[in-house]
Amino acid sequence: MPSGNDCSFFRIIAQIIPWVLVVGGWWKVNKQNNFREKRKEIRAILNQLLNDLDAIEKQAYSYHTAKEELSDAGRDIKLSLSRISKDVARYDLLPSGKRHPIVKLRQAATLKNFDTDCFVTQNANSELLDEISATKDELIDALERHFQDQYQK
Amino acid sequence: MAQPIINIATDFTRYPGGRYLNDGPYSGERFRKDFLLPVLKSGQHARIKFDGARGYGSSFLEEAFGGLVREEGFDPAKILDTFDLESSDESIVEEIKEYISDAERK
Repeated sequence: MPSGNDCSFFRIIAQIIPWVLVVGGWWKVNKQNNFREKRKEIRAILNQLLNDLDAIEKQAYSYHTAKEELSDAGRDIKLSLSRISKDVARYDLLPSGKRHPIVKLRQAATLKNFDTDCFVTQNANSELLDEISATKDELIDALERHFQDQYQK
Repeated sequence: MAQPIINIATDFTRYPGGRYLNDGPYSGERFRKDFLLPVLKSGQHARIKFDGARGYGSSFLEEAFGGLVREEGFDPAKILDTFDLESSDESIVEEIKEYISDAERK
């Protein structure tokens, strides 16, 4: 037969359990909410970044298909690429140490026929323009893959 | 003795661009000849700060750093040991290391 001490122990436990459940439930819901908010925030940043990448592709096309070298446009391309790279780092949009897709895009747009006095106007079907689009798509794939790994498990 | 610091934005320009000297006043070739070569020849070490400039083109980076191997004949390991590359944009450092490692001597 339970003693008086045992009874009061069970009464205390019975009072504590609902509180533990309430606090535990609140903690879990709060954590899920924070995760959803973070996912929404990163998705919005990513969407903006995808727009910026489309804009860079257009800028690079305009630059390389222009009749003469446009130094101001070249400057804008370098600045835009730099901003994208910094945003990717700031919001951890790619795994650390795996920035190759950004490097490849910068190389496609600014390694050849760029900031040069031997500028050659590119045709719409030139390999250089094709490489810019391909590397931009590769970067978008890498960003989306990382987002899915992080937020859509 | 403190390690010399080359701050590209303040010591060279905020607008680096171009590969060769005739591409513009702040080309990769000029940066290599005026800033990188003297350090390598003196046997010193230096830290290079990339932040502050308004973006880098790959042609500038390749000529400045890949040119140290291709044009000047330095050993990639010595170049990597001589310079500490500092940038908040880690893709810049990654790209430069690729040029140094992959450049082939003439």
